[in-house]
Amino acid sequence: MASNKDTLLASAQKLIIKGQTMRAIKAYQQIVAIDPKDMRCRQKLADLCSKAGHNSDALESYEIVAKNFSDKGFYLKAIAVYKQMQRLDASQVIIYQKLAELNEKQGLIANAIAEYRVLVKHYEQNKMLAEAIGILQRMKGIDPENLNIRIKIAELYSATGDKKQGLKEFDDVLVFLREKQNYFKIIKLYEIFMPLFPGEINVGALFSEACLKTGQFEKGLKILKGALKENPDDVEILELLSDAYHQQKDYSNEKLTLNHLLKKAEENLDYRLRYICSCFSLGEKKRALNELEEWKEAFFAAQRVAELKQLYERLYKSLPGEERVLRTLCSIYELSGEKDKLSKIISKLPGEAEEIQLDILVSAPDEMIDDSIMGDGDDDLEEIEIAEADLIEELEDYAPIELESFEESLDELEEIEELEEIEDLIDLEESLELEIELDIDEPEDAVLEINEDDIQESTDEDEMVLALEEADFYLNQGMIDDARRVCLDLLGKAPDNEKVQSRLAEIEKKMIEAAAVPQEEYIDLAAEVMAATQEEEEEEDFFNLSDESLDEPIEEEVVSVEDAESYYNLGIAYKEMGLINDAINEFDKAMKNPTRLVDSLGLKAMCLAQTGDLDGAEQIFWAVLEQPELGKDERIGLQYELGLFYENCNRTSEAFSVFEEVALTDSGYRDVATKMTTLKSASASSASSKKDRVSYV
Amino acid sequence: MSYLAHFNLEREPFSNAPDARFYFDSDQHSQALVRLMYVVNSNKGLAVLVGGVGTGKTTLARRMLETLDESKYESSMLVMVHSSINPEWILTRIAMQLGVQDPAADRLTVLKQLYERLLEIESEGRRAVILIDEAQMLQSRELMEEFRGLLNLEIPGKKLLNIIFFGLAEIEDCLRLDEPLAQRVALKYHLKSLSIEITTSYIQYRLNVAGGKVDLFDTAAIDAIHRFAGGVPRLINTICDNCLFESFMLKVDKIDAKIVHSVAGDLGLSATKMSLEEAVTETSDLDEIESMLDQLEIK
Repeated sequence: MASNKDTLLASAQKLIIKGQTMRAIKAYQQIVAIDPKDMRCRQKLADLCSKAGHNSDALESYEIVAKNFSDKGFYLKAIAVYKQMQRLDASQVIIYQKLAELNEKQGLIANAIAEYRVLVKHYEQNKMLAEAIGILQRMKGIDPENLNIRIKIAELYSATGDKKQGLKEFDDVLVFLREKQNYFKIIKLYEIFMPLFPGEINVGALFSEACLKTGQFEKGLKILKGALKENPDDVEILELLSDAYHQQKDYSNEKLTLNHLLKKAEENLDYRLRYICSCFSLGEKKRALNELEEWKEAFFAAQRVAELKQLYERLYKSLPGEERVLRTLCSIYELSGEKDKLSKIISKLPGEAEEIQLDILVSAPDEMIDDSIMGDGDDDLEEIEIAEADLIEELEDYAPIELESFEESLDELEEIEELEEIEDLIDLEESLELEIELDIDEPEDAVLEINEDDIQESTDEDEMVLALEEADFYLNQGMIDDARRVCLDLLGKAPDNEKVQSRLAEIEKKMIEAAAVPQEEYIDLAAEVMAATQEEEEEEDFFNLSDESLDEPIEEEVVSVEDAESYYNLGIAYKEMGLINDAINEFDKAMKNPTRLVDSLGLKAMCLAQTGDLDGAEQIFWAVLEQPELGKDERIGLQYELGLFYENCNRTSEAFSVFEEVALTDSGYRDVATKMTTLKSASASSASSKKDRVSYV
Repeated sequence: MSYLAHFNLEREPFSNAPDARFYFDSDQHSQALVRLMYVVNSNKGLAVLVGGVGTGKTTLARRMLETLDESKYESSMLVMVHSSINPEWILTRIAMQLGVQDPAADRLTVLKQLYERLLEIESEGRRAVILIDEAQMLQSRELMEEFRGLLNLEIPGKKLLNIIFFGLAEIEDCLRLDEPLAQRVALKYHLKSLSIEITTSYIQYRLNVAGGKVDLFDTAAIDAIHRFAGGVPRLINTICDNCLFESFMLKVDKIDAKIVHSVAGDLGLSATKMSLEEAVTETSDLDEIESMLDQLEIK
């Protein structure tokens, strides 16, 4: 049997040389009939059938070979054979599937994704959306961070009417992007999904947060106002709104928003702190002080002394004679153990100074007393500034999350305070006058009595102010009905209050104006988003649901050593199969890892030579050889390949010259010595060879 | 001292011996070469290049042979030097030129050997090409039939051998000896005499290749050379070569029309000037030029 096969094989090879392809095919058919497991002969048969244009026979034989390779774990060889089949018949879906699966098994993710993409497109074009989603899910499995795949899945779910699954994909991507804090992509994601799931996407906090984070304040504010109207009690939206106003330095609206927040969470010290800061920013120092005095115990209890200290020290600067400031500062310094500062503050307190000082003298060390009590009062401000710097460090222990915004607030306060220097001086004078008046003209009891009345009146007045602020807040957010409701409530309590009446009149005027406008300003959030999107079309696309984007090959910037090895081996398999362009693609990928750079370039050059791009091949050889960092072994190997290239191109003298260089480095390198001898004699006889070609008859 | 030294020339610029360095790629020669290469590259089988005496047929044939890269073509040129050859002889020579080792004595075996060799060349991805110079000497029907037979060596959809005939106008008569062969001519191209502009470029090109000044001949001299040579390259060479020698003898550095007239007179061309012009315009009738050239060679 074996001898019969050998005879047939010899005959088949002879027939191939004679160009008798059909007879060679018959011979190989007989061989595979005798020995069905001979995959080399089967592959040769497939090659011949392919050459003769018998594509169905070729595909049949190739499939057996590919399956055999695949079953034995020779995935790269199987890939090369399937690729050959794909060349013969690009319409066979199963081949793409097989190629994708094999590439996946081999760990060649980019190649697998590329094959799957074709499948997705095919299924989409044939309206086989469930199949397309199935493939996309596989793609998602092997490349979970590829957002385009996930978006495509959602898009297809939308097309199939399965909104639940689609929205789940949207939410998943959103969570992913939020973790990465990629706000630009979040915005883009919303813009993509809004038209896919009309009325299903909640454009609220996250979208506006993304707008604010990406500097799109106006857009963010617009969205937030709209969202607030739909969810007036949404704390997250209110927080973002206050942030937005703060970033825009709209302290008035910031304060109103925080006031509104405090109505919902009175005990929230973060809101309170920011509210006080906004009071500062607006120059309302007395109000800030009142708030602080009212809530200072809560801050003490929450061990947020550092923040209190900083605010009170600021107040001390702007209201230096204010007794409440001095007393609270005493408490703060006592708690923080800053006895120097404590002594100085005590010295400024009227009446009680001596008594408190005595306490300190008993407990404080001698040197501390000298430094504190005897110190120059003019140094106070400087020391407090130093203390502010220390505070930043301390704050990190207390409230790391809020620290940044608090620091920003304080910085802004400084700027504002500088601008309002004159105003502060006036305030200071008034305060001093008041103190003198209190200290000199009136007995202590009377002072206390007057203070109590003041506090009562102040409380009523403050309540009124706060209530009006609430109305203002609603008004400024476009929530006119709510503003009117607040005013009407107030009017019920104080029917003659002119401020309330005036505000109500203002609100009703706005209501009339709003009624004249056919549509409410923030009625359609989706439309708002989409309109904003259209305005910004020139911006860079991060996502693109078009087919083109999904068809774009994945460009891997860096390829791991293992992947480079796979690409390299696949390239060789393709090259051996005669799939030269595919081989070049694989070598291009393999060379992205330095371990296979030189080898891949050398093989790419050889492939180019095979395709007839001799100039391209030669350029690559020389480009690599000109690299100074090329190792000795790599250089000599590449020079040898270049010599072979020239030899094959019949560029004898260039081939000789390159081999000569190889021999200079290593005269025993491969068969370089023989090559040189052969080329030398060929060169010598080349002159006469032309003459031999001419014969006289 | 020769005229080469007198004119600072490295080599003779107007020798009529074949020299690839002096190949002047005139527009018509270039066009002819492109067409002939097309015939070979598309395996058309048979092509014919017709040209008068001295118009550059042999130069073009040698140029084509140089162009046929041995890695892609198995090529050879047969120059017919007499007309008494028989079909067996030419078949054996073609077989040998294409690489058949030890061709057999009988015609059929040689044919078989040649066919196998052609198959081998084809399997190497190369093309077999035979150029026949002076093909007008193939003056028997048997020879023409032999070439027809060779052109029939083919595999499905592909001819295994390409043949190009280079010859005088009489080649048309040879082809008519075997009508089926005449019908197989895939391309025929006629070389014509050179125009005055091409003649000027031709003279300057050869002077340049020889390492001399390109303006050794003034305009009137070139005009006179063109008229006396009738635009025939070989005749231009002869006149120019004589002019250079005459100028060297007269110790002048530049050739003018007076010297050309003198040389033409010596060559016996002055009296035949008009008839020559008429002759070269009639590409089918070149007897007069040929006899003139024969006379020159005798001289």
